[in-house]
Amino acid sequence: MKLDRFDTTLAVLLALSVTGGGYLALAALPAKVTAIETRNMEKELATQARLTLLDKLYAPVTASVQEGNLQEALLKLEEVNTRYPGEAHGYILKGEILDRMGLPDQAATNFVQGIKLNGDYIDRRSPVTRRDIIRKIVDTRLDAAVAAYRSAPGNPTLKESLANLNYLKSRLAGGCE
Amino acid sequence: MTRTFLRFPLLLLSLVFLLTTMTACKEKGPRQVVKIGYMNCNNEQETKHRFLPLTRYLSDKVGVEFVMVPVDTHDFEKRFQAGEFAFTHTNSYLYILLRERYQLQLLASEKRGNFGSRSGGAIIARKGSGITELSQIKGKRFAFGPMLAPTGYLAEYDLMLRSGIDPEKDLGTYTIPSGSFKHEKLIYGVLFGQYDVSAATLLDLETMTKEGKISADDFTILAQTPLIPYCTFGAAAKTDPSLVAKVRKALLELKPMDTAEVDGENLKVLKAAWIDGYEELTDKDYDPVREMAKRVNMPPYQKF
Repeated sequence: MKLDRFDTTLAVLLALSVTGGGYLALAALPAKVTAIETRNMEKELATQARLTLLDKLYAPVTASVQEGNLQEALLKLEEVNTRYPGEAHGYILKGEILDRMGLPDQAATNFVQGIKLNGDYIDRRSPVTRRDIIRKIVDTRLDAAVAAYRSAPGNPTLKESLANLNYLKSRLAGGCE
Repeated sequence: MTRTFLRFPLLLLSLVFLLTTMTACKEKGPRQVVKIGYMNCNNEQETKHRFLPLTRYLSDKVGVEFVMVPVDTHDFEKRFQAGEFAFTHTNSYLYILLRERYQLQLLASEKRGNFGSRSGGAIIARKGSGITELSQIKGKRFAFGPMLAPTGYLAEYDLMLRSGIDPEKDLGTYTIPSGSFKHEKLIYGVLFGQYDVSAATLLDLETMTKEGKISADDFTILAQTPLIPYCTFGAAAKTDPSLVAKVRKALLELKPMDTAEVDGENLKVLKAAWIDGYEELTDKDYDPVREMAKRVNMPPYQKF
């Protein structure tokens, strides 16, 4: 087969197009990585902003807890909750306060609600994790809750308490919602 | 032959028809009427508003016609003794009083607020008043809640005695606000300077804060009482045990989405009654209330 001038020109143009396309594809790749990095940064920023906002919003509650004024802390929490109802952090703080007041079952109820809204509170890598206090409640209360339920299986309150502790136990073990 | 053949099925059909008619008549007949006495917390109107849906719910669930009877706290024992109502809805102090004197049966305990079926009282002062410790209430103007209120009077009186403060001797003056809404009047009374210090139920502090009526920063909580059972359903000793069991079951099964019809409108029973549900406590759970009543020298343990 003999190539004429037209065929040569066509082959050269084709080679140039393939080279150019390859270059463009390579050029596009770093841009994509940058987008992923940007998204990660945005996520990190959102997490940091949320932590800063939570610290600021719940500062009066935390201050009362640190002073040992637990009832006052609960009232201050009610005030924040009226502005941000359904916020997971509110449930988690209430759980911590009730646990300090010696009411682990009520604390567990609030932890369950908080974790159902935001799983970060049970995630060991999360900056807001509350695994230790939740594990302590499960470890200290579960056997007694099982015994209480077995002694009165028709009592819905005992059933609910046990269900809450079992839920927390499963989430500690890595179970999903 | 055909007539003989048809005779038996016709007889059977007639019997079925007769039985169905009798059953229908039985269902349509008037239902047994049973009265529930509800202790007025603030006033009669509020009691009716809160508990009429619950009464209708119990009628629907149990199959008898429950009638609500709002009762003034101070008349409760007298009217119960007279047999005006078989079921009772009272605070935990009235429960132990009726239990000790008339063997009232415990049905279910109400859950409301941060502490479920239990609540407590506090002694409060206005923030900035200079009163920051319980010992400073000596010589001050104090206000208690209603005299039969476990977390508005009994628990705080007991707390003072246990802290070495005799309300009869050590306070400057003490009073109980008159009229309805006494619990709120205590808190407002401290806020606006009518009293230096007052008793306050934790539930009222919580509710009023939630409603924006007060701020947590308005008050200093000088001391807090132990948590004790709160409002309680009971049944007179001679009430039909199967009826008691049905009412208890209906109360314990009550869920936030359960409704009852009042004046053609379906209302959420728990929401209307401002409660979160019912819990099955034992009579022993009420022992802290008994101990308080003994220390404060109140009926049924009063000694002269």
